[in-house]
Amino acid sequence: MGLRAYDDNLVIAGRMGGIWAWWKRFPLKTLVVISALCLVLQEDYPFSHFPMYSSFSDYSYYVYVTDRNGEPIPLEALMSIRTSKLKKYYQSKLNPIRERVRESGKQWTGFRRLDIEARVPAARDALTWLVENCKPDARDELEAKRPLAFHQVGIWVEGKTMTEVDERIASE
Amino acid sequence: MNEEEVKRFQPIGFAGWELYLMRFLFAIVVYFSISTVVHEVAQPEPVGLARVIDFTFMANEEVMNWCRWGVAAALLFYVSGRWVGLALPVVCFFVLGYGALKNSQAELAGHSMQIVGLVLLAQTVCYLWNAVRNRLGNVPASAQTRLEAHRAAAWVAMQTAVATYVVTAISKLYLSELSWLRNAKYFPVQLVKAQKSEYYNTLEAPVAGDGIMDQMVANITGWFMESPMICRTFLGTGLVLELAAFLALWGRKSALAYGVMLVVFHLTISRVMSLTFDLNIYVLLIFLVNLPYWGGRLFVRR
Repeated sequence: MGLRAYDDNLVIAGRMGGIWAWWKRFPLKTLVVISALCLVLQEDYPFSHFPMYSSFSDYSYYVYVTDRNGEPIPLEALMSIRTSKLKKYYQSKLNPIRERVRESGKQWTGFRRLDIEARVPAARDALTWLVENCKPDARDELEAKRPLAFHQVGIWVEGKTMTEVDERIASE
Repeated sequence: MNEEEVKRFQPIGFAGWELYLMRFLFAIVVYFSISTVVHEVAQPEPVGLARVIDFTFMANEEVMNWCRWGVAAALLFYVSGRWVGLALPVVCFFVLGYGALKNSQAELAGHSMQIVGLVLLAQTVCYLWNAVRNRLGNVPASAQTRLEAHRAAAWVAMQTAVATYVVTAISKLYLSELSWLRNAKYFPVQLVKAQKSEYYNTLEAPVAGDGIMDQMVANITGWFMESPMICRTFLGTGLVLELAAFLALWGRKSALAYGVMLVVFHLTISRVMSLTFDLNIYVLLIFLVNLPYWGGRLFVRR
């Protein structure tokens, strides 16, 4: 090893030592390490990169369920299942359908323009899941309300106008 | 000026009684964050510890009861400040397992338990690290070394709580490719979605009261639709608050100020969007706001 290379290595080692010494004194190590792990590992409990509301779109939707008479059912009050959880389940079933539509070569235009027919299987799955996960003491009351129907309400903004469209996607 | 106020971004010299109260309150939060009944009987998409251990045994009510007893016993040691290096890993294992099971439900995973899991993990590593360092350095166990270990654990808990907010802000900027604030004009869509979803949970229309908050909640969607600038200012304030949350670690006063601001921030979002942040609020109140200390100071001055 030449003398110059040896000197360079000493300089690098010195710098590394300086960085290490600085890190050892740095009082916010936990903040940096936890932040880095959360951002790198993303959704791996207890780590998370907390992606909620990280992007806004001009379109969103919510879901609800109606009974045999077409009257809305208070899901949480009756079954201890929140509509947001039902939506999460529905969306998880919708995602593969969305992928298939995208792969089929059709122009992808987002959830709002996905045909109702394409959404029916996901909505039926969501209704089945809902019935299966109903709390035991509410089963009789739920049975009296069947067959259930699944509704998706699209919301979007155009200029200063907000539009809501209620679609009955599927029933039992 | 108090000496500890001069040192910025340095571990706070908490008194023994403050640290005891912090551990006591956090132990209550940890214990009650675990449900008595677990509905998850499968781990369709395992995360965290659930990748290597099947935690569905927690769905067995009897087993879960024993687990909760075990956690309660270990938490008693944690609160007492003795044998923490042995007791806290037990609590950490069960809480991380429970959280992993809850978050292994594919799309149904949530984000309510993360802050408790992260603080527990950070404190466990901190206590173990202290124990190993003291053992290797032949430092005899004493009241002073225990106090130092508890102070270090409180300091890592504060940093961990703050980190979750900084990460949230960075994710917003990164995932939106820096267009988060520009697209914030679409936030009213989320507001309406949240309010209508909440309505279909109970079919009870929100009762409009006369308070400022009630009026704000009732009118906020209209204001934001009318003026995207108001919407951006409102959301931008929250983003800056999250991004600069590390300033809470400046000292005691900033921890109090930032803790209160973040709690108000959560309460506002809870009210407007019908979301709950109970565990976040409790952790902030315990480790940042630290009301017993400020209450004590006020009492002593009088």
